[in-house]
Amino acid sequence: MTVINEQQPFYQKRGFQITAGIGLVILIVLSLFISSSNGLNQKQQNVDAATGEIQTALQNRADLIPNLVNAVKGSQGQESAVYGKIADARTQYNQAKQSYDKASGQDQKTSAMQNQDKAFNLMVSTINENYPDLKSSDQMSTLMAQLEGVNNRVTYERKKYNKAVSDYNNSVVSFPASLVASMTGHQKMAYYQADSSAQSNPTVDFSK
Amino acid sequence: MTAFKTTKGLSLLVFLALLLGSLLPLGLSQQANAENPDTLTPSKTTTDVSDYAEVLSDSAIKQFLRLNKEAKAQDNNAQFAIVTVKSTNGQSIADFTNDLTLRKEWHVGSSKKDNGVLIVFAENNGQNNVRVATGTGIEQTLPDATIHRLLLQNEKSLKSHKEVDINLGIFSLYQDLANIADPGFVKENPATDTIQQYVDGRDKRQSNQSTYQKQNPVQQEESPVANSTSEKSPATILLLVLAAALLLIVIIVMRSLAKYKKASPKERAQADPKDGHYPRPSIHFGGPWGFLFGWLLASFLSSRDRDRYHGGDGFDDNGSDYGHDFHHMGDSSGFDGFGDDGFGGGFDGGDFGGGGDSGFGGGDFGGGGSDF
Repeated sequence: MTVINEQQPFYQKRGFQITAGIGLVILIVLSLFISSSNGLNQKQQNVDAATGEIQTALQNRADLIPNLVNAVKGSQGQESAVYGKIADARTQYNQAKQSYDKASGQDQKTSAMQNQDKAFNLMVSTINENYPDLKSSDQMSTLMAQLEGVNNRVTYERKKYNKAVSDYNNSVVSFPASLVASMTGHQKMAYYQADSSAQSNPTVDFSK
Repeated sequence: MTAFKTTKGLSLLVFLALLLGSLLPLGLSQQANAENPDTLTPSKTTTDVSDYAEVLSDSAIKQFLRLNKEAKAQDNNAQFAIVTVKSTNGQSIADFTNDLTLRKEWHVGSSKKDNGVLIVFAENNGQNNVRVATGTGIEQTLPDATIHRLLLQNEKSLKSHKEVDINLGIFSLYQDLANIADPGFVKENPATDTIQQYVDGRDKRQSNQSTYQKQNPVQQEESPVANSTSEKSPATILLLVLAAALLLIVIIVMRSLAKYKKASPKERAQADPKDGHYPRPSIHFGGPWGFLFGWLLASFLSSRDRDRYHGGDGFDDNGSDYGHDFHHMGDSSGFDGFGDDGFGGGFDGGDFGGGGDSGFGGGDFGGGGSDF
């Protein structure tokens, strides 16, 4: 027998149950949205940190340029044309560094760093081509070891950076997070491509 | 009821078998290749020395481990590790070491000081490439040029084709490096003490296993089964958990349906005078369901890094590698659903990829070092 308007505890009333259910679903969706957005931001921060580290490695490498130039000066046959090329490469490097400092987005930073890389490699290959007989003296042997060291550091940081970017990109494109990404303005980032001239001159071997 | 038992039960079993069967290849396909820098792991018996090329004598390994233990106890400036492989498969020793040190398993040194030094030796058909990679905290003490100089000092023994000499060379290189990082640390113990095994006439390659390994019988090279359990991707585990949950739900629903069917038509039609409902099923939001729901909610609402500390202050003991590993990326699995790892907080790729706790201290590397 049904009793009209019988007393029910509030959690048994249909209206409450439906509202609570809907509220729960909304809560769950919201929390997923928040955690997903946090994840994306964190990964973006990782990419930023890795960018800073590459820039440090590039600068440390560029600090060896005066040593390189001095070593060339000490050898026989000073050709002003070669110095001209080295000076041009140095200017290119400085311009690239400036565009990095002024860059507003991650992709601009990446292309600026690639240009820094290219300028440095240009300098090294110029020296390599024009002074093939630079014999290994004590000074050259140390410089060679240092150059290989800084080159490897740049390679290492570049790999780390690309890993961070790949992690971030994977999040941005995979399905549920891609919705959040488009809502919060996260976009895919470009990878740092190694300069192709570096790939043909992997190590600076002044004894060749 | 009999119809239910045969057709529905059977189809359920078939479905589950298919599900599990499709997941199995995922786990087994990740087999270890001892010389692949992306899957190589430190030796399980002697973490600090992974002698996959079998060039080191037992006495060298013992001495090195003893010295390293002392170094950690005294909180020395540098912590060392040695890994030898037969070949780098065409990769330059620098690239090989880079790939190793990018992974968490090879983060030698304490995470606070980043003072790890990794010595990598690769036979490479007689080329005997050696690289010493320095952590970011010890780079100032052991700059690249210094390492290069020390390598040249030991060139004769390192590039020799006799195992005895290689053994001597590696140990002497270690001594030289340690003495620069911590002057006077390796004072007694000349490198010649390490060749006792060779002098005694027991060639390491002739014995199937070195005596040290015989005393500590844990496999050095990972078997496919052991490897698959430690490197199972989070996607596999997630699918298994979901399959189990699905099974649970299906069973419960079936059982309550059965209970409902069991009630005779008369009982069904007779409403309970007290509250006008049919006999309730036994599920309600208490007991195990409440627990499950609470757990789900907790994992949704927590962020990925609730267990990790960013930026340097972490645990300092050798077993843990939380803390400074700010750049750890984890494994991006195919199940990267809601921006992170499926449920936004539960699983972390790094926890399942190759074992999160390798035994090294988690020191950060920056690509420094020198080789030849």
